[in-house]
Amino acid sequence: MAYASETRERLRREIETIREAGLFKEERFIHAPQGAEIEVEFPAGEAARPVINLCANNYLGLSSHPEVLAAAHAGLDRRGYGMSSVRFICGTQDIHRELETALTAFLGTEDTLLFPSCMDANAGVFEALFDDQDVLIADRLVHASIVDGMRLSKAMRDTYKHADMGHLEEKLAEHQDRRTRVIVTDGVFSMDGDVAPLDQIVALAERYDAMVFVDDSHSSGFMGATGRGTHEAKGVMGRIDIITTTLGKALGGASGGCVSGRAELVELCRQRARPYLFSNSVPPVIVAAALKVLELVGRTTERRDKLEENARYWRRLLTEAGFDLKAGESPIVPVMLYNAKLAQEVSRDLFAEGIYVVGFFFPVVAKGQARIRTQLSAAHEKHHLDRAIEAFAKVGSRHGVLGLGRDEIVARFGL
Amino acid sequence: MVTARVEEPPPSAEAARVERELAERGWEVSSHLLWVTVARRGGEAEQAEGRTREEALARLVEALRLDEGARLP
Repeated sequence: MAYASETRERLRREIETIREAGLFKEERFIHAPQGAEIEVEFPAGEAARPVINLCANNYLGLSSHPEVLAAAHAGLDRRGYGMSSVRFICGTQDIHRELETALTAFLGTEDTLLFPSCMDANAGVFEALFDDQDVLIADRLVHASIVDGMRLSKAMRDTYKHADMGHLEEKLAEHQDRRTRVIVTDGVFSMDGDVAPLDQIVALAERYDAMVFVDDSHSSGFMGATGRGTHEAKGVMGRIDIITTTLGKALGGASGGCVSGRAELVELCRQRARPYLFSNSVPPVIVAAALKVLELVGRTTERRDKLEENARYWRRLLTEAGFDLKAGESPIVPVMLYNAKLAQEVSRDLFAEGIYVVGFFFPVVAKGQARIRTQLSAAHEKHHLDRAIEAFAKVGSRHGVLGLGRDEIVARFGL
Repeated sequence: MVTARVEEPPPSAEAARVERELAERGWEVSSHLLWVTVARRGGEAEQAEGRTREEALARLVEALRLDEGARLP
């Protein structure tokens, strides 16, 4: 080992601090393809056991879809495993261009550029497009990758209160002296599953001469009547300047992301965005499978319709069972427990009952907002949700939280 | 608002030399004083700069707002 024992001791202490704060993340080993029913080894070393998965971003259930797998195999055979290059040297195949064209048509934009992930797209886009003459005005709950991307840009950073249009308007008025104002938001917010009021945001952007940036990672493929995303759901297709999104959730669930939007903005990213310039191309196997995913999504709305129905059904089951939910219209359904210890115990007990969910608490979510985030999939059948609600009701009853609202839960369990 | 401004001293010979060298490489160089404001809490730290103390603090507050927001993948 090159580093001194004091350094090793310091690093170990930091790990211990994370553990003591209850923030230590343990991986659970899945012995199956991603799906509604999976086999999970947890704790490590235990025999894998079957559980219903309610915590994947596999919204359309396409992660293990037979046609997607076949397209991936064909892509592997026809275009190989890796590109061993960045895009602009010798890493661009015909299918990369084909996928970018397909994404452009799907999202209703002018051009698209692939990145290794949406995390990379968000890390690269702001630095490539904006400098110290500009201001980025972000919703205070935007995704962590956006926060990192904004930090990498020399543009001034400002924020507005979550989904507060009055506050956003104040900020837009305040920054009229800047060359460019950019409103930065998620389409669907991953914590509460709430949807950004894009119609109002676009109206404000037009009134105050601002650009609109939306990360639609938790929306692409299913929000809106044909699954194009939050911009379709809110009736503002073609009026968003920059959309970033992922192929790692509804759109196949492997990896890869993109920046899509006005042609000149995308071209500037192609010339300047460092994660694009300095990391390898998205592998051919993923590109080929993503093309099939877009074909499937474009062929029918059956899967997004089923997802919508599953989310509605699951919300109804939880409400009837007496759980306290965050209201919303997305397939992210947070079950509110408010108390951190309670959230941990409930998720542990649900796992014992064969339901895989994760409890989240401070500082991952705000203090006193501990919850279990459940996520629906088109891969779920009614019988999965019926089995899941039996387990939720049993565990909820054991902990005495059924029928209780926030104040009652807080009174009983504290914050 | 009253802001604290400090008169900037003239560049030292060494600073002038470095600025000249950078200019020869095509850079337009300008140097100015900044307020640097730092917030620490346990192992966390955030830093911001501004031409005035108030500007630096305002930027620090916005940076902390983004950092303190709850986050899920």
